[in-house]
Amino acid sequence: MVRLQGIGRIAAFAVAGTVLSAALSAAWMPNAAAVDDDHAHYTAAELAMIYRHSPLGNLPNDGTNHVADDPRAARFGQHLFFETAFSKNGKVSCETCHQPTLAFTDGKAIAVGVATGVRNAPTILNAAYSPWFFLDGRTDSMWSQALQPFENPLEFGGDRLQIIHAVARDPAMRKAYDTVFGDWPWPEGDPALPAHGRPGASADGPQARAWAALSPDQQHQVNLVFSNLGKAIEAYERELVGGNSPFDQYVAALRKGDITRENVISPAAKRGLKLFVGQANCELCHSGPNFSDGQFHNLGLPTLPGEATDPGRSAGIALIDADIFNAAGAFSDAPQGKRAQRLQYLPDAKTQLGAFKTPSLRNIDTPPYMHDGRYATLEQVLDFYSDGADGVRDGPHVGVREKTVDLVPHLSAAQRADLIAFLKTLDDAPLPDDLTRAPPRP
Amino acid sequence: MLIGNRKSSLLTAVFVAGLLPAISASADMKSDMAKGGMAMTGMHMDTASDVKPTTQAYTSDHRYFITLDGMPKSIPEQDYFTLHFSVFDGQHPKQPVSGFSLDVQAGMRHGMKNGFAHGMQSSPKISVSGNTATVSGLMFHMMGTWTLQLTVHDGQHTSVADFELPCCSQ
Repeated sequence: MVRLQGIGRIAAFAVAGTVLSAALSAAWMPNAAAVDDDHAHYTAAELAMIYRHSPLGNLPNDGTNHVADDPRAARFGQHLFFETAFSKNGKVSCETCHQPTLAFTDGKAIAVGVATGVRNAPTILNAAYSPWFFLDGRTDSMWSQALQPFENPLEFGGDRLQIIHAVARDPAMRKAYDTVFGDWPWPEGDPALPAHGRPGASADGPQARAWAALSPDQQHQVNLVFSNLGKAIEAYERELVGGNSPFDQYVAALRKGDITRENVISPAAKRGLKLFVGQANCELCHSGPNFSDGQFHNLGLPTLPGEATDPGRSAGIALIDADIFNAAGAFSDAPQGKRAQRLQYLPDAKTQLGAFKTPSLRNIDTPPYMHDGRYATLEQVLDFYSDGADGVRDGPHVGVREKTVDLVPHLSAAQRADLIAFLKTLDDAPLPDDLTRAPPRP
Repeated sequence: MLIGNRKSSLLTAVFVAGLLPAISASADMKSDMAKGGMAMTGMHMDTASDVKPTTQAYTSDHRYFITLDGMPKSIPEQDYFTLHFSVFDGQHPKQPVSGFSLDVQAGMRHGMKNGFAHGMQSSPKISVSGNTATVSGLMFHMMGTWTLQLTVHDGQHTSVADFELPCCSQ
């Protein structure tokens, strides 16, 4: 768990879980021999499933970013991550919604930048394992993801010309840029360009007019530097990975047959794990080492009162297709690569209405939950999955509700407690301190 | 009917154009699988090892016989792959046919009798040459049994065949 108070919380929960499950543990552990070897408690199929979840494994390669694994780029990106000069009010940085002390979330139902946004802020821990980014999958790389909040009027409220000027005027950032990416495109340092400008803003607004007044070469140079800043941020975010949670330690012990380490998670958590990979069918969508299929599902969640309908990935598909910073675009370092190839197979947007990305369950102790932050606790989330057919599932919703949701059976209170005990074993050990704050210099 | 252990009852005339949107109007899964039947003593969804792939099938009207050529050794999970099919005359299964177009829909039933519980998260590309069709951009994002519904259009008829494929070994 990356929260500073996380270890204590896990310990407290483990103790509580042990007490809670004491009466049930005898039934779960049929004989004394079984206590010595957890393999006996899982079927072969369950064990195979468990092993698919750990270890986390190597990061997927991102060929679209030639500095994705360059430590110098990561340090520059780390500085950019904590930099507030790129926002409209000078107070917002990436950290605002992705706080290291909150497992890189913000603890809010809906993210708040310079104004209140429209969705919950997901964690960026282990995000590099995801094939698509944003809850609606509107970007296909971490670097292109990192660019969009800068110009979102509800997040940073900035624009790419403002950001270029901010970097140009800061000798340390300029030096870091040159070190990582080579020559700055403008010999004069701070380019003789308008103070503000971006494409895609309101067509008759001053930013759009300023952007349209630039020559194609000028626009390309600005976009090139802008994309490079995103690539540096990705290099930093690729270092924000865990994989040493109590669950990972437990699986390692299982693999080795190290019975002395099999108590790293509680009996309740083990029962929850068995449910997770078995009868509860959580495994279907929360699959693989990152506990996510990386894909998009419509759970049939009704639009919250007073909120606008959210089209989810159906809108994301149009956006990724139009994004000049996508993997097939001019600023990708592998425009013919595997990531770019995926774009030709994007699903029909009509089938994706109301669908959102399956979140990873690692570091899940980060309420609130769901794309709109409607649930404050994991208990509420499980209430939805377990009993939703009698309640929220039948409410009005956009698009086609995926029937996979119905595969989660009714779960008793004890089973829900077990599942939650298991889920909380997925909290990573704290990251090194020097990764959780702005570096001394870019 | 299908070759192998498939039941002809699976191949009913529910396979209409625009399948995935049509699923939204299909009977709710609750009618197929009563909630009580899925209690903790109930089903756990199948895994890849439970199903052997369909390698050849007749369309439901027996107009065409379709073979899956060169089944991949293992279908990758959450990654794209390509399949090749050959289409033959249903009355003369060694006689290739041409001049058709092909549609492919894919999804998982998860116990539903009709329609899919969910579809695929990709739009495959299909190219036809002679009696062979190449389907690229297939992607299975979930373990279990997937159904590929191949619809052959010859200008006069629409004929549908199902292929069941397991996902995934890795």
